[in-house]
Amino acid sequence: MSPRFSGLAVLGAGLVAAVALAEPGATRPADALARLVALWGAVMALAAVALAARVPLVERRLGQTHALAIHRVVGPAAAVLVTAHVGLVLLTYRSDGQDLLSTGLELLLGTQWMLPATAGFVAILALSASSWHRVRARMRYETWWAAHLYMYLAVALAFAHEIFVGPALPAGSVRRGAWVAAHLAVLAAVLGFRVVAPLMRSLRHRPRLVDVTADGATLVVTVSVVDLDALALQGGQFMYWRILARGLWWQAHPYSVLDASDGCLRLAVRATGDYAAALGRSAPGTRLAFEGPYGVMTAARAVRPGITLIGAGAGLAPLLGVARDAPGDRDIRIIAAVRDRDPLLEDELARGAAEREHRTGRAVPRHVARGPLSPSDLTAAWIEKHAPGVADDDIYVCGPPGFTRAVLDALTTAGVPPQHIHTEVFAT
Amino acid sequence: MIARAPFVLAATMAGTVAVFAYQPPDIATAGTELGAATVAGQDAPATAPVEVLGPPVDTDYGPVAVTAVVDPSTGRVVRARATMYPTELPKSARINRTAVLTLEAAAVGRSTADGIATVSGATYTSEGFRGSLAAALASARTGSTP
Repeated sequence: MSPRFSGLAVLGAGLVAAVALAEPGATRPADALARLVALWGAVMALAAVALAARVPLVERRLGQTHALAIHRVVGPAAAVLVTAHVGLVLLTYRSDGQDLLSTGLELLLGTQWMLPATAGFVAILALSASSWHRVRARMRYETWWAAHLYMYLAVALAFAHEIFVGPALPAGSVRRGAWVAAHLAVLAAVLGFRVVAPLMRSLRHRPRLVDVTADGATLVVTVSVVDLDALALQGGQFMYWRILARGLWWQAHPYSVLDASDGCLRLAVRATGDYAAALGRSAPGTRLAFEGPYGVMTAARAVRPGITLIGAGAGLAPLLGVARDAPGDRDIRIIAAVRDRDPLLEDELARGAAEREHRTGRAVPRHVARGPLSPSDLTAAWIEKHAPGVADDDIYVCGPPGFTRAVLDALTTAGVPPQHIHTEVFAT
Repeated sequence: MIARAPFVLAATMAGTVAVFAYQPPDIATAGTELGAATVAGQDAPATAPVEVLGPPVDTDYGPVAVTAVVDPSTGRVVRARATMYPTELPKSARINRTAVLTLEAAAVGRSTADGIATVSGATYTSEGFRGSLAAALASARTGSTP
């Protein structure tokens, strides 16, 4: 099921929920429409928050990449619907000859709870603008991240007017009860799965920085972890990491796990960006915290006898985890794209392949493409050349978004059924 | 970024508290002011005004009924009074007590109920008021009192 299809399915389910929540037999059709659109938008906003709450069931069944792809359909839809609601309300509540501005001011200042609701609307507009890809590309990641926190505030600001203004959700009704319960459930999920659970896990596993090796495009970071087995980490998964130091603790970055053994995790970190630099400067023994592991791009997904791994840059790290975990009777081959000088990652690649060859007695053919690759190079023919018969394999793809997209397009052209393509896009 | 965080956080919290603490001005003052127009409207008619009772009109919050005094020669409202409006919920009562004053004042001098503006926050009461008044005016035209 493609994310776009799932996104539309969630939109449809949201409309059904909105119709169920809407009051039966409203007096004026225009009022009823304005409120239905509002409820639909509010349900979608709540769904967007829930999809980003890292609910274990969603993370395991759907995967974060898929969940966030739906989030990116549902979130903008919420913004559009809420904007439509504001427009419809202005038009509906306008009395004869009154202009929209004075109608707006009258509603805003003359009705209780409308000022918070409008503040929430402004927050949603600002957030939508910051998430628009052209604006986002010019923005620091941290600013964009902080802007996203305002979505929680926007939902809370709008909540009072949903309940107390107008007859949409009257006191004592089942509909009001359901609406309040849905908000409480999402609040509990966000607090539980994004705050409490990661805190508990970090307290239990007490991760500390052991050492950072830097040479070329990838850093290899070694972290000591208490009770490593209890993490139930699978090859191909990733974790969000934070450095518990002044000015750094508040942001978390996704790094994939190269391997886990002897009470230590080794992470592959792309050597660009402020956070990677801060990691490189941190002293051994520095406390860290983590969220996860997350990710569904694991060996357990492969059902065919052959597995082709196609990766670029730090995206090769989780693929090595897949190669390690895959049963010994599978034939594995690797296509690696290494743009910048990256000796550490190439070493890992060679070592991972050699280990598997030694363990299973089966060769692991590798093709390493060095230097820049453009999406036009990554054609079906190019993949077929380096991995003949690729359409009969389970295929794992991981790399920067542009690379991943180009490879997925090529694989679709080559006729690989979508259920045999496994991919993960890190939400960096 | 992190250096700005405390200020952004403080401003956000202050703003949130402020928008929630805001109380809209009471519409009552506007209502009493306009209420004076009711008396002023009485000097025109030569023929005796008739009182007509509008039927209760159901809204989502409860029925609204209007009694109007109409000048039969012009068909215009001399005085209007909401005899029934929703007061069950404390919030409805607070809104409607002031809203009906505005609606009553707005009805004076009109021959139809259509042009009476909706009082913000009292959309349903306004609609019920217009519906009941329209029926009252219709019965005044036909001469039948329900």
